Amino acid sequence: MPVIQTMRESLNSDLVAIANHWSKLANLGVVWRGQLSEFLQTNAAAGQVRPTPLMLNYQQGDYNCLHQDKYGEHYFPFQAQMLLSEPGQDFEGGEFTLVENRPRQQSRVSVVPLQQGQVLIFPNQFGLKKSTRGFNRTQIRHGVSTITAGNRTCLELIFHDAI
Amino acid sequence: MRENIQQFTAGLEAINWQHMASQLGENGFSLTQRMLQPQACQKLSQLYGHGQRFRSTINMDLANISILITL
Repeated sequence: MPVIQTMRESLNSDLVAIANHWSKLANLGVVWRGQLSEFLQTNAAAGQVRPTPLMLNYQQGDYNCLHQDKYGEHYFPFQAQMLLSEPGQDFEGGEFTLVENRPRQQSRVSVVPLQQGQVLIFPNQFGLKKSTRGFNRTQIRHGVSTITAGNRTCLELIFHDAI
Repeated sequence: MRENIQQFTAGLEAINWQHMASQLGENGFSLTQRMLQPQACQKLSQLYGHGQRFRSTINMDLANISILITL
């Protein structure tokens, strides 16, 4: 099996429990299954047949605006990014950034100190914010700031497929 | 590439999932320890990162990056 798919499957199976916990807290009424292959069959039945794992190569001047990677009805609420280049050595700039839009509050921004070989796990749709009645959903988007020098390569593991 | 999978699997085993779950809830993200050594990272990006394997270059208002579908 290709190395990327192996990584995708093993990481997914470990994240399913957290995803289902969040689903309960947010009253989503969705249950994600333990096996990625089963989930991908559901995706395919809805026309989501294109594989989504990506290798991204940012060069000087490249950037990625804030966005959500949702490519159809079916989605897995977390995704992962592994940085393959070394910040400060292979490239400058290119910070991974998350913005959380919260109801009736200013947005919160996080700049993630991602290092080479580390894996970042982040919600690709919504976050949870505790309220008096339980949990409210927030909107989370992510992006990468402009690369000012060098070359930034990363592996992006999205667990749902695309239409 | 088997080495990569071994390193990655060992990295997964070292993850404290309880800690990761609470970090995701509190911070909106969670970072693992280094799961691949620098050499493995370089190998991986070299294997997939060259030539016509790159499917497309996105160049629009949203993003400006080279993209490769790896599967």
